[in-house]
Amino acid sequence: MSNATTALNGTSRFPAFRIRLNVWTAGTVLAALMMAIPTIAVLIMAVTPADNIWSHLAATVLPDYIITTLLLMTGVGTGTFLIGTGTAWLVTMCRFPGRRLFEWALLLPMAIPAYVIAYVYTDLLEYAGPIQEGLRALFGWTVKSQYWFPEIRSLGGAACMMTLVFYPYVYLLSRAAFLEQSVCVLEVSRTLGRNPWKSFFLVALPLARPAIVIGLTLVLMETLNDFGTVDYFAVATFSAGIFDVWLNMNNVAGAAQLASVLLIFVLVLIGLERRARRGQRFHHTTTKYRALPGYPLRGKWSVLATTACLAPVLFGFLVPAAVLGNYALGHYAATLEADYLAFTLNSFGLSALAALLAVAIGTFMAYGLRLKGGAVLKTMTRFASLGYAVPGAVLAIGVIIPTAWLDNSVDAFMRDTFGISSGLLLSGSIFAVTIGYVVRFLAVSFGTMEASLGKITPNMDGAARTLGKGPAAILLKVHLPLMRSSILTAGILVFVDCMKELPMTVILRPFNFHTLATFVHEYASDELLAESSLAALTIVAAGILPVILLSRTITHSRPGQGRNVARTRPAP
Amino acid sequence: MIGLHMDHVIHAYEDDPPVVRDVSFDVKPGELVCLLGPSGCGKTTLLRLAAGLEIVQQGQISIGDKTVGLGETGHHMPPEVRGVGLMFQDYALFPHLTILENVTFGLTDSNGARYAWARDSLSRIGLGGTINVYPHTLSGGQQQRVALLRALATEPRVLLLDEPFSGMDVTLRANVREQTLTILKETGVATLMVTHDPEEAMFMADRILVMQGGRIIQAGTPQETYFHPANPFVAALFGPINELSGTVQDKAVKTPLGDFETPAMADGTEARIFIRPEGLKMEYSGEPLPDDAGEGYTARVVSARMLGRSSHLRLSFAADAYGTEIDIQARIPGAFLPASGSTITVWVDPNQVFVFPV
Ligand SMILES: Nc1ncnc2c1ncn2[C@@H]1O[C@H](COP(=O)(O)OP(=O)(O)O)[C@@H](O)[C@H]1O
Ligand SMILES: [Mg+2]
Repeated sequence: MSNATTALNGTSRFPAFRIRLNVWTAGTVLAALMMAIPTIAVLIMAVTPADNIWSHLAATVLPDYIITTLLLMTGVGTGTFLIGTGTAWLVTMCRFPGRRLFEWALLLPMAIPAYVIAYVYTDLLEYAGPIQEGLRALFGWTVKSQYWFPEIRSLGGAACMMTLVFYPYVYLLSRAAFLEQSVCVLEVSRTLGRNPWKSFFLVALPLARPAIVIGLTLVLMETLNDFGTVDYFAVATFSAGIFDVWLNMNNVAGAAQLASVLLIFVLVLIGLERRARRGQRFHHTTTKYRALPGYPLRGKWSVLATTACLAPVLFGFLVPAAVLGNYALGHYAATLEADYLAFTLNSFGLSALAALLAVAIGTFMAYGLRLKGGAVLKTMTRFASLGYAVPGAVLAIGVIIPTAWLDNSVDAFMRDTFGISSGLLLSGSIFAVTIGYVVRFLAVSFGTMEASLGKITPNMDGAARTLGKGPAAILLKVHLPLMRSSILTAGILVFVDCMKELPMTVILRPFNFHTLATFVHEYASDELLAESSLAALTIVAAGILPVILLSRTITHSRPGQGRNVARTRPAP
Repeated sequence: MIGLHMDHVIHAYEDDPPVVRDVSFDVKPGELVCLLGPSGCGKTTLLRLAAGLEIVQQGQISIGDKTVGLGETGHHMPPEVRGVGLMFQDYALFPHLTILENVTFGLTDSNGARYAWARDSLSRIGLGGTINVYPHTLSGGQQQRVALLRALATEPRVLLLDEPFSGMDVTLRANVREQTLTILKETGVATLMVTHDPEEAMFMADRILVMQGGRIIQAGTPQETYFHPANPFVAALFGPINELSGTVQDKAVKTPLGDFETPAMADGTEARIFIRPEGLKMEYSGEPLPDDAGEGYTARVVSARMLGRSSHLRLSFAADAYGTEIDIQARIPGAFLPASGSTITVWVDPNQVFVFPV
């Protein structure tokens, strides 16, 4: 073969290319594995219970946990479904005063962590609170036995609190689904003799079902994750149980076994979500996109619609924000005195670090996947981003197990070799908290980066490659500039999630280390809401950021806008 | 000296059956070769293989005197060092870079002279005043030329163009085609251009490679491809074609439109006869009749329609003694619209008739 020698010429560049390609793939695999460790640790733990307290658990608390958790899930699921899809349908399909405003205002309750809203409403509605006091003054009652008032610190109360702040997930997803349906299918239904309400139930709702299911699974994952509310209300769910068994009974194995039962719930939810996402693909029935006409509502109907949309915003955001604001004005000095600045700094520093890491790892993994797809790599990255579904309490255990093992191994090694003890290096350190955050919220950054990369045509890479740029140069010169706004979005989302995070922080934080969330939790649990209100308000203020981002997306994604522009325009 | 050379190249995506099956060809420097074939036949894949965006699985690819890909050894020179220019069907202009930044994207500081070339070339195509705007503000035709300049800026040895004129309207397409041809002939680069439009291939190409189902089924000049199609597929590539059938007798097949010689086929072979619509000539067609036209054949006009620059006729011939009729389409330059039901005399240009065994 005459080309044999020239072939050798060419090979001189070949090894360099191989190695470079492997750096991306190997890096992606490594990152995915690292991120998967806590989840794997919990899974392993689930199948290999150490000292078995099953029979004890089963005889005492387990049935209670299961029933309470299921009841809570049912309550929150029903509530968020009704509010979420109902308001979504009103703002997409009907015209009534304030509709434009409600489109994004309905997202506001997202800014408030469930535990914060629970503290606020307890403060308002308990026996000594202003509402009951007002009623007593009004009707001249003097003791509790003279009247009936719902007990806020109850299972029902917890379900209401979570419904108020979790319904925006269902709202967002079902609204997007209603918008995507295009009015054509609804009009077909109407020409076939169905009125708008029937059309909603016969066409719009079934078509939006996958999106609604995804929204509901997210809500239920959050419900399982919640610790602050159930702890405060003394509702015995799994998360509360894990804390109880662990911190109060000092039984790690028992906590781990509870965590493994909780994981079954999570796996069911993940399964549901996956199925719904697959189903979603087949629900795009038409590519014709027509502006929604909007049924104009008049008279009492328009008042009803406005009220229906106002209520969740009022009770889910305005009231708690006002209460907190009012308290903060009166008691900010107390919060400052309790070392507010240090907690704020801790929260911001930790959250920023975690956001930075999550975005960096997420981008790396998404790009590694783009460079060298394949089912194996894809499955690995998917698995690595399962953290979002695992409740914080469970994940925290998943972080503690490997870090404790590492600490012990290093300690043993140091003692054997140098005769000194290195003690606990990682356990109960800021490092452990950061890892926990990154693992739990990696899905947010990875998902955002993957979607953002997906919008860049592979031909862009091809063009840059043939113009002499390697993978790293392309990431720097083409992809990162194009993804700027997505990177910022991902960073903000992770940052805010970390700011609000409570259960993992409580378990993993160093001794006597406080963030805004743990501080608020501790103070409010001691009936000192007013004294911690400034801190709570700070968390809520940070929580507004994603709402702003999402509302911008909402206004930009009205039918006929944005879609194609995004592809040809440079990022703003 | 070769520009691009492919030798027995086979390529499959994942576990699917191969989409490129044993393809061999070369493109010489200064030559423009068109890859012509229907959508999905593997044209883009072939370009991506040449550019190094796909790793060759079997066979050999060389550029200049260097082997850039060899299936047997797994040797693969990455695209960034191959020295090929590739223009994508969607142009793939970088939306966050200006026109000038796009064109100079592949340049390094060492080739400063090319920066001047980039500015000059942009001026010459009428974009001198807008070198600092972003691609989305340009029209499709302008974007196409920017993409072309970007691919040429690094002085590639081989230029690959994937359907460079798709998505343009007819008038714009004709203009841009002319300009592109001028630019390419000036640079003298070896060019492989993909298209599914036979007219475009005829217009642009020095040579045409006809592709079908991952194979090159004919390679030749535009004239050869048009007048000597190697098989029914190539014959039918240039538009709808009339098909008749018959049996070879005395080294010829008899049809109601005349007897056509088939020196290479044995007597008794079943044959398919293809007649291009533009191969039918008639009294009113305004062209001199061939010398050997003979008496011609009588046809009944079924319908006549005006297409603009030409007319489309449906004709009916009495096929045999039993009165079976056959339907033939004809295309005549200019306006020629005989009344339906009238009778006309027709001759067939033998250059436009192709006979293949069944
Ligand atoms: N990345 C890919 N993965 C799997 N199949 C592909 C991929 N790209 C193209 N194909 C398939 O290979 C065949 C040839 O595609 P392509 O080369 O793009 O054809 P053409 O450019 O001639 O239209 C098609 O059937 C297409 O579906
Ligand atoms: Mg193609």
